[in-house]
Amino acid sequence: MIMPPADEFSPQDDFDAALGGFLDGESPTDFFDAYAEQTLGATPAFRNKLEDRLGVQLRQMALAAEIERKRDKMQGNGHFHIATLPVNPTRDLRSPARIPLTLVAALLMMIIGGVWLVAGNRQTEPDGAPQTGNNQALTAAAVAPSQSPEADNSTAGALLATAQAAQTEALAGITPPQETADLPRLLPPNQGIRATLEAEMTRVFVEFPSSSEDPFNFDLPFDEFPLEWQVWNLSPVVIALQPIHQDEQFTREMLGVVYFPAEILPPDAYGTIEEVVGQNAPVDIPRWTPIQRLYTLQIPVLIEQRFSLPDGEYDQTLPFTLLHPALPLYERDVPDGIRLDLSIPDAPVFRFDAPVTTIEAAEGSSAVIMTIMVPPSMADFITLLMEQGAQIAPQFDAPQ
Amino acid sequence: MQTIDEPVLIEQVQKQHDVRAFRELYRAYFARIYGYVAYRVSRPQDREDVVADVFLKALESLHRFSYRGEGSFAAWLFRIAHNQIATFYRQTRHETLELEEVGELESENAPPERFLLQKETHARLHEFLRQLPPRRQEIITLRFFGGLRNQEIAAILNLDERTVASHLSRGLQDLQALFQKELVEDTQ
Repeated sequence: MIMPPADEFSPQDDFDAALGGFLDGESPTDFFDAYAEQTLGATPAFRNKLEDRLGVQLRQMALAAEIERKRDKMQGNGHFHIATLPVNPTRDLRSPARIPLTLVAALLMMIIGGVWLVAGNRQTEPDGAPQTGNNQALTAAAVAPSQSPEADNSTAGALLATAQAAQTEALAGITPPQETADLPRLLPPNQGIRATLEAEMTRVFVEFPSSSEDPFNFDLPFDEFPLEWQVWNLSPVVIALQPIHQDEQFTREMLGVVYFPAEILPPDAYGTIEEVVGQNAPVDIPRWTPIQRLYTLQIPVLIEQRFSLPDGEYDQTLPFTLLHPALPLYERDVPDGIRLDLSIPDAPVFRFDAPVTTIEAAEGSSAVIMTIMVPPSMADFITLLMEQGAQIAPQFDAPQ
Repeated sequence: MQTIDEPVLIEQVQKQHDVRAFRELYRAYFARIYGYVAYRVSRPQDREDVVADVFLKALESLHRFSYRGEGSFAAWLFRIAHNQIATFYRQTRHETLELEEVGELESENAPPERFLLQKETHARLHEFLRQLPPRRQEIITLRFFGGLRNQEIAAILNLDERTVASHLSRGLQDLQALFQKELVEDTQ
C-alpha cells in the first residue's frame, strides 16, 4: 500500500493518540495497509488478467484512433463498397453519363487489376499469350464512398497509386484491355461485399502475431470474435487458380500470384511460380489457396477432409448469424456493390486477415458467414487469406 | 509513490497509446484502487468487476485527463472509482462488505497467534468502520486504502480540505472509542 504523505495530516497527533490504544504500537498507515492488503487484497491472477485486458484495450484504441485518423481524411458517406463487375454487365460501361463515380473508380481498378493479371499470365506464359478469361485472383478492386466525388477521386487516386506501386513491373509495356467483356474478373461474378462503417457489430481488436509461424494460431483475448482493420505491406504469394488434386503436378496454368500483407504471409508461402512448377500436390488444394511449402512436401496432412471445395455448389450459407451489417448486400440492385460470403464449415474459430478488413465470424454452427467490411481510407484493395478449410461460396446468388 | 514519472507516462499513453507506460501506471495504482473498492464492495466477483470497470473507464477517458501536478492523477482515478462504486450500488443495491465475506488473511508466514490476532483486529476494524457515518468511511478508506492526501480526497468528494481533515480526525477518534468500548466489554 501507498504511504500517505506524512506532511499533511494536520491533526496527526490526535490520530496517533486516538489509534494508539488499539493498534499496539503500529502506525495507522501500517495497520490499514495490512488490513487492505491481507484482508481485501486482490489475487495475482485477477491483477494480471486485468492488466492484460487493459493492454489489449489500449491496442484496440490505438487501432481505432489510427482508423479514425485516416477516415478523417476522407469526406465519405460512411459507406464503402468493394466493387467488381459482372461478367455480362447490364450497363453500358463505356457511357460515362450513366456510370456512377464509384463505378468509374471501380472500372479503373479493374483495368489496373486486369493489366496485372494479364501481366501475371504473361509472366507465367513464356510465349506471352495472355489469359484473361479463366483467371480469378483473390483480389478485389475497391472504390470509395459513393456520394462524395472528392472522396471518390481521392480513393481512386490512392487505389491507382497502390496498384501501380505494387505492379510496376507488370504494367510495363502492357496495353490495358478496352472491352469490358474482356476484363478479367477480380472476384467471381456477382460476389463481393458491401457494408456500412457505422452499422458494425461489436468490435474486438486483436493483435495479430507478426512473426508467428502459423498466423492462424493465436489466442483470442475475449470470447467474442476478432475484428481487425489494418494496413499492410504486400508480398507476392503463389496461389492456385484452380482446384488442384492430390498428386497432381503443378503447372504454370494452375498458378497465379497475388499480393498478401507481408506481416501475415502464409508460412513458407512461395513467392514465384517457378518455385512451384513441377512439384506434386500432396493434398487436394482448393482454388485460390496460397501454395505453401506444406503443399509441395510429401508429408501427412491432418485435415485433408477439410480441403474439398465443391466448386460452385454453395447456394446458401446459413445461419446468418451476425450478418446484419451486410444486409445492404442483399439488395440486388446495387450496381457498384459486390459481396463476398465465406462459408466455413466446422471452423470453431475462424480468423480472417486482410490488408484492409474487419472480420466477424460465428462459431458453433455448421456454417459460418463472415462479412468483410473495409474502411474507406484503407480501401486500396483487399486480399483474402483464409484458414485451411475455409471455403468460399462462389455462387451465393445462384442456387445450383 | 512518485517513483514513476507519472506525467510522462500519462502523456505516453495519451499520445502514443503506449501499453508499457499504461502498465506502469496500472501497477502503481492497482493495489490502491483495489483496496478502496474492496472495502466498499462485498462480493469478490463484484469488486473485481468494479475494479476492472474503473481501469477501463480510466483508459477510455485518459485522453481527456489533464495533469495538474502531483496527486491530480490519483484524485482523478479515485474519482472514477468513487463514481463506479456509486454506479454499482445504484444498479445492484448490494450491501457493503459483510464481515463473513471478508477474505481469509493471506499472511501465511506470520506466526499463528499473530495471524489470528491480526485477523481478529481486521475484522473488528471493518466492523467499526461500518459503524461510522458514510462520509467518514469514505474519507478514511480514501485516505488509508487509497493513500490519498486530504487535498485529493477533498477534490474527489467535492469537500473543503479542512472538512476532510476534520472528518478524518473524528473518524479515527470514533474508531478508537469503539475499540475501547469493546475492550471494556470484553474485560467485564
